[in-house]
Amino acid sequence: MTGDSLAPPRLAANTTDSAVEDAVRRAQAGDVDAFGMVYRVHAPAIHALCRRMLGNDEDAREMVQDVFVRAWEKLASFRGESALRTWLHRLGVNLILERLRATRRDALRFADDPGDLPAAGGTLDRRLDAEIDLAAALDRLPNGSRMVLVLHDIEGYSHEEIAAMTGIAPGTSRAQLWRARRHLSRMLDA
Amino acid sequence: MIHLTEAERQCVADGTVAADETGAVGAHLAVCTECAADVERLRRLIHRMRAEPMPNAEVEAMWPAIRQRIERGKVRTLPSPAPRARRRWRTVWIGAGAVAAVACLTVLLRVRPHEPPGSAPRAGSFVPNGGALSPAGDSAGASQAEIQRMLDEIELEKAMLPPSTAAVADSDLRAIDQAIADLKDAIARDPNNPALRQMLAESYRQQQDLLKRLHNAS
Repeated sequence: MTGDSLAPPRLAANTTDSAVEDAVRRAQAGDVDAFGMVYRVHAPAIHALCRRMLGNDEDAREMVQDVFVRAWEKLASFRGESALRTWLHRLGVNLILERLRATRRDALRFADDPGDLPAAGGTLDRRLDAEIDLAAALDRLPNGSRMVLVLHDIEGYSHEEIAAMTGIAPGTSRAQLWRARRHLSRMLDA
Repeated sequence: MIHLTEAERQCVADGTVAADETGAVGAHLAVCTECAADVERLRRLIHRMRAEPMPNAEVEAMWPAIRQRIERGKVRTLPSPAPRARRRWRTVWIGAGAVAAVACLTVLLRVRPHEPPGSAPRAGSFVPNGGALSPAGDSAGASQAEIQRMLDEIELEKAMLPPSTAAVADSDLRAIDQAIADLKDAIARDPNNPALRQMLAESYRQQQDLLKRLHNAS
């Protein structure tokens, strides 16, 4: 694999955890090709996280770049106490929250009253298919509510962890989650 | 019938209901179709979210840009040492020139036959006078004045030189000073040697030139 290749280096089809760990060690020593292998393994999940939390693909693609560039810079500090996936996800969540706080005034706006949440129907009702896309419904939630929903129900973070990351109280996280589920359910059932 | 609270329904749906509430909540759900249906709706939603395939992304297409940023981040711009190196080499060459002058002087003194002590100085030459150089004629007087002017300028340049710059050129300046001192000794022993005086004047010019360059560089 040369450094000029446009595609990230492939791991063999029967890639084992130890092969990935070896790639991580080599990447920590400065091997960019090895980091490309790590990227290939973890990029889809990181992209999914970014796409769901940010609500649009363009921002998500930019954020994936930021996450992996930051991961490269900080890789030396990864000691392996947690799984690399967890480490990357936490890094990604932190960067996403940082970006939202810096670029959007309403970045962490939560749905405090029913008016903050999109009503069922409307644009979504006009979709050609009756089947409503979950991703599209998620995108319609306010940023704060969507983040709590994604972090808890999809990424598996606890309310305490979400509270620590976002700066809200665990009780607020719970309330936002339940409210977001209700509205999402209504949108999907519409 | 008292229905389950919103918190209880949500917690049952995502499996976080407290252990001590499990029995009572389960008993209610067994008899209340309304609550059971609601909990089931929430469960389906959560399951659907967790089972939702990851958004399709051509992650491989993003790698070249990431790699480029990583490679770019490896390049660190260092302050260019070129000007300092040039100045340093210039002073080294001048210092080396002074050392070479001393060597030439030594050779010259050994091969040149000494004139008799009583012979008169030639025009254009200097004679020592109490450690200072004295003119032996009109042209010699003009040369002495020129040397004195250079000495004054050298003292001025030395005084104006920043200490850090003076420290850098210290060895070169000392080499030229040593060459000048040797030439003066040689002239004291052979006052009628015009080559020695020419070399002394040249050494002063070198020293002056070095000091000016150092001053300009600083």
